[in-house]
Amino acid sequence: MRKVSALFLIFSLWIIPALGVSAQGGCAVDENSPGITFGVVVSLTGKFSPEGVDTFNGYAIWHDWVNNEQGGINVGGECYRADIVYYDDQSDPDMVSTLVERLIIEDGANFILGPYSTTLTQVASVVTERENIIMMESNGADESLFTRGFQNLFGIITPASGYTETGIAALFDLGARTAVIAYEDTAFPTTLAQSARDHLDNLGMQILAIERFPKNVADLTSMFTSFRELNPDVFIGFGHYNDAILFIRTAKELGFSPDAMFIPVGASNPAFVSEMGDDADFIWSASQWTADMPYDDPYFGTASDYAERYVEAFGIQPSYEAAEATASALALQLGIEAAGTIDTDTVRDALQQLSAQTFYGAVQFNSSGVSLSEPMITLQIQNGDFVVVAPDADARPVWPAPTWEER
Amino acid sequence: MACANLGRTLKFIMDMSFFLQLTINGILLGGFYALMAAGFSLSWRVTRIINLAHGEFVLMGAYLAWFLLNPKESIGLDIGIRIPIMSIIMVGLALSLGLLLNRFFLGRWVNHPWQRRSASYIAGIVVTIILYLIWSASDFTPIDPFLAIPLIALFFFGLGYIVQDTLLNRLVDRPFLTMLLVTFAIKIMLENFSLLIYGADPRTLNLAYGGSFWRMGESNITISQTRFFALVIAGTMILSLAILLRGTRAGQAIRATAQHRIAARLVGINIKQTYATTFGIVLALTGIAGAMLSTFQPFTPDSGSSWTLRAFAIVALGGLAHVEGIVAAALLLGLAESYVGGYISTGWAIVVPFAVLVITLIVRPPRIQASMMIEQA
Repeated sequence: MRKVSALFLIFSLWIIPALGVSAQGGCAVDENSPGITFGVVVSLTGKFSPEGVDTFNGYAIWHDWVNNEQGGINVGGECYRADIVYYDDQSDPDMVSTLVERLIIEDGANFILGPYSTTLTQVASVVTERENIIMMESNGADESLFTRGFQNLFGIITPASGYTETGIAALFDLGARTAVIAYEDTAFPTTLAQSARDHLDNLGMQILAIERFPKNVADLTSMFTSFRELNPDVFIGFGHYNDAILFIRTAKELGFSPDAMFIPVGASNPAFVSEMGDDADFIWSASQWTADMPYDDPYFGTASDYAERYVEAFGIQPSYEAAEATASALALQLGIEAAGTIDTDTVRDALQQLSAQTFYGAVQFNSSGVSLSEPMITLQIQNGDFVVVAPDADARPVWPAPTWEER
Repeated sequence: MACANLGRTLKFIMDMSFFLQLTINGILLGGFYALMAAGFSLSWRVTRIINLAHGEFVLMGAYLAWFLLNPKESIGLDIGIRIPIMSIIMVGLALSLGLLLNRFFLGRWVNHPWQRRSASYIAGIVVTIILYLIWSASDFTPIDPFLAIPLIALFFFGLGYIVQDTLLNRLVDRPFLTMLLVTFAIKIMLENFSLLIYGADPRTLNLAYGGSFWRMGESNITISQTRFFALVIAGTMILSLAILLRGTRAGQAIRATAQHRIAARLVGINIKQTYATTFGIVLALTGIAGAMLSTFQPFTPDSGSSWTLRAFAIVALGGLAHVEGIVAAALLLGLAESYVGGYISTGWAIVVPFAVLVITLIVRPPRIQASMMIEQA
């Protein structure tokens, strides 16, 4: 009996780590394994490309991990290799429609992983709905995406209404009472502006002006001149990465120095700090995720483990868009594994039942496919670093921000 | 909301400092527009090229300024890309210097064309290498875009000369549409070339004085320093252009060619060479405009079309006959955009160039059409 126990112990010591290393899901795949095709249409060029490239990198991290470390996707006991077929949509909605169709019909994509931006996700999801293919979108945050009665669209990110909630509350607590809002005249920034207005109204803050500007605007001098005349406590700007840079440049040039500049989208990208240098300091932004968050999972480890992995692969810190993309692909994988099949209806049911903890946070969907996650966290850039200032502040926010002349 | 906007507008109209600020913004913007459109108008007037790649050449100037300020910058540019860019710049500079020496300076001393050409290009190469060695000895010190203007002008002059000499001159007698299509193809190529090298991220120049401003007394009115410097450069360049066109032999040749190509040829003007020189000057102005743009505004590879459109609107409004017309039209457009943006909304400001273009083409078609018809005569 003792001999048997010893043999069992030796066997266990050898086999358990071996299993753990080769395949956490008891899987291993190679080139000859059957594959599941994930179609990706993403903006590698054009207006959305800064965030589009991050999104693509996020999918690439998952793809590398699932095939080389996880050993593939375990579907009903059979191991499937994950194959990604991708196209560059050039940030053009017309291209998205054509390319998603091509992915499904010509490339035989079983699932679609979403592009960056609400606008492009909107277009892509129309095609996936028509073709009855599940689309896990990672970077379209407008609630309107999920109010169209679509059954095949899922998204793990915080919807637009949660972008500014914690930030505006924190600013109100600091004493802000007046605000101006600028937003790009496209779907997502418009929704963000509406929700920000609701949050400001709820707190009784006065909105001195709401101005929209067209996509691809080159000059905002006139708008900021108007804002400067109004002398608000807070400027809140909604656009994308390019607009975030334009906001700061224009404000500085005109000496427009509100107590806080809150730019939820674009300013939380690590590239923003390197591009703007000291001018990025004191800017408020929002983030779906940071590497400091206390989440972990059995797949990628902790949030900071994920960040390390990303830095190793791409040499830069992951933006939250990249983390969202990885977590979205992971959520879809978990849904497929839970379903035990790649049949659309079964996977859809499995995703609706899914409740998982990941490095990105909890993943759970309501019946419309929307994430049941918490509101976004609010960051402030201090000495070139992002610090969490709401809801659970890591550091005191600098309020009011020094004027441009004082810096 | 509409009432609130109206109330605010009325308040602003009454507010003098707001009006003055918008006027200053408009003039600063207009000055830049004038420089940007001057080249566009010259190439249209002389070589009959409506250069649809004009905005992309502006951006090339901006990217060159960015490169000279950030020679060792790692964002988006690894060594494998830096070296080819550096080589292109050096070859461009050497050729430009050679061209200038050959065409304008060594003629008096070296009579034999072949000897003059050899001497010029060798001198161009030697000077370029010396410049590079000086720069590398200083560990590639960042070059301020305002200081880099001569270098940028030189590079773009050579580029323009070569493009016209080798490509566009072959198309001079082709139908008007061919020229449009070729410049459109150049636009697409340049846009994608910039995308490949720099990516789509917006670039900004982090100058120590970037974004600094002068405040007028105790008032709220500010003047952006970089935009003001850009205005001064624009004024200087446009003045130089006017002097060059009116007071030099090369300028007279350019004007003669613009007026009547066949007559110019009859009096011994080398038309193709004049075209090449003209396009060299055009791109030099455009490159400088791009460098100025980079000092106060972020730029991306796909933002060229908006500059082409503005240049088109300015030329349509100001006409092709005089530089003064371009300056007036540019200032008018800058002011109109500023006032509309300030008193109505930024969204409507974007409409201004389109509106100007459409209205001008309807109200003043003879001038525009006449300029296109000259060549057909």
